[in-house]
Amino acid sequence: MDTNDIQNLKNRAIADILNCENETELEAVRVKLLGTKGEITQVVRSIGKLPIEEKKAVGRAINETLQIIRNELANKKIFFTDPKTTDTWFDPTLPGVKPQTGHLHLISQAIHEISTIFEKIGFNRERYREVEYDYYAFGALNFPDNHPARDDWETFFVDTKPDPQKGAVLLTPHTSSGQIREMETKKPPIRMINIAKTYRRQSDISHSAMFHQFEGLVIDRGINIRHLKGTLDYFAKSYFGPEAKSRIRPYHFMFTEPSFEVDFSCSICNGVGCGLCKEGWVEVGGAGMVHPNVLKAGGIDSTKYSGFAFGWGVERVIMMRPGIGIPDLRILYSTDLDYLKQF
Amino acid sequence: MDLKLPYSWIKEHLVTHATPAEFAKYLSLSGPSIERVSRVKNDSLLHIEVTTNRVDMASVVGIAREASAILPRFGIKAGPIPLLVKKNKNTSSKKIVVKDKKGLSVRTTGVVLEQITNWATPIWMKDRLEACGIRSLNAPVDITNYVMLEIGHPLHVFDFDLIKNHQIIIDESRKGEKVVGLDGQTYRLTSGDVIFRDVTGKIIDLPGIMGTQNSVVRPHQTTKFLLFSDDVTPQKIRKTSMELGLRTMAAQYNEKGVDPQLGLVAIKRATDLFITICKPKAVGQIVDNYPHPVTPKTIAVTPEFISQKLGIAVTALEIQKIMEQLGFIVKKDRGGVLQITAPSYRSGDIQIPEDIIEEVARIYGYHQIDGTLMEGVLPVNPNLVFDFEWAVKNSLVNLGGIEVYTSSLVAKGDMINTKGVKLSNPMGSDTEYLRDNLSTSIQKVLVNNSKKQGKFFVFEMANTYLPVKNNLPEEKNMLCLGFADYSFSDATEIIKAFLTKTGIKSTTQPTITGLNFLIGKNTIGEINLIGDCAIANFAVTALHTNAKLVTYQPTNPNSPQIEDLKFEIAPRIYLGEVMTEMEKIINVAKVELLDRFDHFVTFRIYYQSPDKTLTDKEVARIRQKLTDVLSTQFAFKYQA
Repeated sequence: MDTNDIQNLKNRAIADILNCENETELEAVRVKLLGTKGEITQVVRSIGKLPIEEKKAVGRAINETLQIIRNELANKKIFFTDPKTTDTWFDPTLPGVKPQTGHLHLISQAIHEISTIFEKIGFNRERYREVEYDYYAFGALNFPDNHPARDDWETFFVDTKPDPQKGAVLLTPHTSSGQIREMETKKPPIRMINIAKTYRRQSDISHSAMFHQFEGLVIDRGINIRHLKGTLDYFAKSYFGPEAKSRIRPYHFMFTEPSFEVDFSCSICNGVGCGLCKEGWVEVGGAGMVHPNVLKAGGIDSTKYSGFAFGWGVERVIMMRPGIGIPDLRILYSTDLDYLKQF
Repeated sequence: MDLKLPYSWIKEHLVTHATPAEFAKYLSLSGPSIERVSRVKNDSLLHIEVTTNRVDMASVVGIAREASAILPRFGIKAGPIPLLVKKNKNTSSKKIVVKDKKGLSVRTTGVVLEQITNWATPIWMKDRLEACGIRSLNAPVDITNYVMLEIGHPLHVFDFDLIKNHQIIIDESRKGEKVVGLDGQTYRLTSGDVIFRDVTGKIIDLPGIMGTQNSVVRPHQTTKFLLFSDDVTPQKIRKTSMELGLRTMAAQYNEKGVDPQLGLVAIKRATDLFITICKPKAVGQIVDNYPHPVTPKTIAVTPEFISQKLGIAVTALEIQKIMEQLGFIVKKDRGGVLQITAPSYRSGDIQIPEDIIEEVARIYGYHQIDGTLMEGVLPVNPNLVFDFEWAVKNSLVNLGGIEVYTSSLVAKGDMINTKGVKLSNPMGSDTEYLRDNLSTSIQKVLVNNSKKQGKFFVFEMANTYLPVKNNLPEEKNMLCLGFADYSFSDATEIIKAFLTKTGIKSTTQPTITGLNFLIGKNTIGEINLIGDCAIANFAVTALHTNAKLVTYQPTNPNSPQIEDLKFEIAPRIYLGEVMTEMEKIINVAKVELLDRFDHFVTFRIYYQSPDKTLTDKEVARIRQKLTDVLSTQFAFKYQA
């Protein structure tokens, strides 16, 4: 074997590679040349047996050949796998006609999610009035006549004559006004989830004059604080995930006794404590055991039945969802399509 | 009510080793919510939220009292240190005379101090007041504020000599009376504000809210001081304070109904501080008018009742222990009933047995009560409208619709009927009315998005509010759709597809501006061309009542014969109606509009019978029928 033979071998090898029509053939050529029993492999093995004076020249020639053949093999392989080099080439990146995708509003999504969660444990969804008499919003809910919630700077009032019995006409500042409506039309057992638009005279980063609340009301025999805690915990886990927890702390509302503030474990930091929560807890809303005066106003015998109620903003739980990153509650009500199309 | 109190001050009234963080954590679980602990100088400042019913906690002593009941429950020892007041010798004969014929103040208490030698507030008091957010002025004024925060009852200090004849007459204002407050501002009163007058009728104080300039102590000039406490009805305080926009700390206390018992304690404590700090030469006798003392209520409860509402068993002994720690008196009668009497500072918020449950439960610890879901019978008859609404929204989303929520509160210009539902106290003129239509809001959405978006359609489902005589307005749930960059025909096709998908079979009737959708003779909705845009409105109830479950139709196994027919047409013809007529002809399965140019149209006709494949002969007969109908009813000329 001399350098001439090697030159011939190289030429033949290159021709073989170029003649390949597909990857399988190319692989066969590669094995024929470079495999353990390949022609070139064998030449390489034989170098050792050559006289010293030939070794150097043959060695250099075979090294050069190896490099060229490897390059050719690689080039041919690219030729077979790169779509740009094939006959059936087409541009799969060409933009097509964009479909019109619909988008359900975040508020609707949340309302559906919340009602589904409660329906699973036997609650019926309701939606009570937005424009209501004082009686349902305050009077029957045990608010004294001069309670500050009735002030002009808290609640919107409708410019109309008050009803002699049921008082002024107003925009409900809470879904709690549905409690009495529910009790007036239904008898226990009651498991209601009332989701409706509510209104308060406020507008800032975490408030909008129009917002949505949901209100749970359960009335039956033997309802106690444990049931309220169980329900809150069930909601926290269903909405925020199995790691979520709830807790109640003392608070004050006119229509419940005892009353509670409801906290959920912070879903951003998983209850460890971060800049957005209070030592791992986030305040979400209010709850309590229905005040006997409210049961009485709803025509329910408070010696036989007891109940609990809870309520807070739909927007609040949307904003609390980890990763949603909406910095201002009023953005929820933006009608900019660039925002609406994101969800 | 939010207040800030230094922890060192609380610890003057409470023995405990609790760290500020522990203190905050445990009190928040069972008592007042401590929102935050911050550092000031060498002290921890507690940021406390006190609910309106518990103004008794809005003080250093009040918080210490709560803590002494709560902390031991978490294994931290705590005990109250009682506040001691001295019995001072009367060395001045000066005293105030108070006349309250209308009974406007439950209690008034006053004491005169003369000739002080120090006006400077000690550093420790100044630091505490400033940490609490109160500006330090001079010792006499600062002492009143200090005692307010410590005891929880506001006080005022007058220049005794500026009160003519040393006589205060408690009265109500007449509309339009003016008064200059401590802050130098002039306030115009409405009628019925509670005020102090002197014997000439001049207003010399806005009791419980703010002093006035004509009776205030003047640094280094005043020689006789009247420390004074009053208890004006909370509702009156709230009214005046809100109307005048005077939300002073005193007003925030007094509008919640502070315990009149504390008035006397506060006067005594302030007198002690006055003597120590200001060093007066003479101290007068305390004048105390309290004609009808408040009597605390006694409430009867059984341990069974409490256990039932809590869902866990609590013993009489446990209840007794908890209530006594909170300052209640508990007596057990023979029947095992507990007779529980509230302390004076709780007489406002303890009214019914449920109030006792709350006290027992929170001190026992809400965190100790395990949650469980309810058992029992489930309510029936769910309201199905919500499932329908959900289906409607989803079918519109499937057609490419984008849902929006716009405000129910609109400007007068957005109303169809300006005699609609109007607010008496709107936040602005742009949100003065409850809308009677969704179209205007949807049009605005289209306009606001038109510059940066191409073709799109939005929809909203929301109430409109229609006035009803002598009743609440009707809240009518409407569905409104708005189409941008859609041809009117394409928009209508979306509506038709939506109606079909929703199970509604309706007909259409052209109007001047668009189409009405009818079921029988009842209009259930409409679509109109407004400017460049199509806007559609439907009443959700009408949709719901007319939505039917889809009935299966056998599919046609026979292939249709298809052909295109060209006609010359008359002007102002509703082609849609023509096509509906064509489809009424037997075995005309479908008609499509292929082309329309000038006064010529081409229809594509699908001839198809459910029974068999039609022959050319049969098709010819149908074609004849078709051209006859078009020519006689619509004057179309068939272009063979």
